[in-house]
Amino acid sequence: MIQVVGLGVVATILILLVKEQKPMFAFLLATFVGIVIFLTVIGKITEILKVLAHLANQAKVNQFFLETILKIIGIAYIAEFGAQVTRDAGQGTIAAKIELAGKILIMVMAIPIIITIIETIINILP
Amino acid sequence: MLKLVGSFITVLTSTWLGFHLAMQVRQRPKQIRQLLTAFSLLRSEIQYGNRPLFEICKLISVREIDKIADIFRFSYEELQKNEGDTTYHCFHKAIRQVWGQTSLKGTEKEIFLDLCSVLGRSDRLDQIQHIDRAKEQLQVVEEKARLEQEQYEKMFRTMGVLGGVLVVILLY
Amino acid sequence: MPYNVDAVFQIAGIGIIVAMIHTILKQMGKEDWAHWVTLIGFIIVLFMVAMLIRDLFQTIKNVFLFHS
Repeated sequence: MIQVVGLGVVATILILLVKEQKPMFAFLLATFVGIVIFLTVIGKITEILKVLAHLANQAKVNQFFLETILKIIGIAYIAEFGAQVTRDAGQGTIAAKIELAGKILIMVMAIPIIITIIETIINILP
Repeated sequence: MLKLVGSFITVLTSTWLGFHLAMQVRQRPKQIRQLLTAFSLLRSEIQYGNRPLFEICKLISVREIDKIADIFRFSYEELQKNEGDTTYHCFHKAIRQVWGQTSLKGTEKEIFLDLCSVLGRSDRLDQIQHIDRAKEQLQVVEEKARLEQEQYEKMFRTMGVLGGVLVVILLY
Repeated sequence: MPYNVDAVFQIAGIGIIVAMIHTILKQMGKEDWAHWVTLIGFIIVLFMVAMLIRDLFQTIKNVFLFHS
């Protein structure tokens, strides 16, 4: 944790230093630091996901649902990342488009689950 | 540790290279001025003296310093050998030997060689006129070289240091 | 634990040095050289960032979408 915060603070100082002369380099540096921080924490996420998968197996939940949910989280992460990078570069419109694409893809992914839920409800209803 | 030593050596080398280039640029107008004084000496010797050319060369090599003196000393030795070469040939040999060690460039060499092709081949007045012309040309070149020095001397020095640091950062 | 933090300092260093070289070359009236230096530095940094983004996407693929 302290390492991440320290990296963030140092990176901010460096970005401020570079930004005056070369804004392009500052932008790339910011992207780089963002990725590095994400990569440091993604190891932990893997652990959590393993536990989740184990629990789902024990509860005999359909493997397909878990997979879909994980995919949705992944898409959300990628879309968020791309949107933030483009917004940092001052392209708010493109960021909005990326977010839109992410939302639509998530919807597409979720459709099988929704269908299953609706079918279940219909079956329950007399 | 090894990396540190290596990067230190890299920075040192590129800094030295930058300073060397800067020195080259700084030396050039100086050496052109020396060449100009040598020509003045040559002119007065031809106008008022009565000595043969190789003695004049010896005299100039004693009066001048550094590489310019070397040029005239070599010419003196070549002329003294008396192997049947023309005067132009002797000077050409001497110039070729020394020129690599000086900071001078092709323009000055051409001017010098043009002058050498005339030396010792025509009468006094003609030679003096040729020397005057060569001196005028050299002055123009010197002016140009000095402008170049002002412009590039500092740049080479800074670029040497910065380039070394950049290479170290890139490879570290 | 942190991924490869050295690269952060490397990018910042490249940025600062390239900016200095750019300024000096510009002062000396060598604008075309200055632009080349900036372009090359930028390409190098962009390459590093691109490699890292590839790593990131690969990791995300492995973690979240592991069956595809």
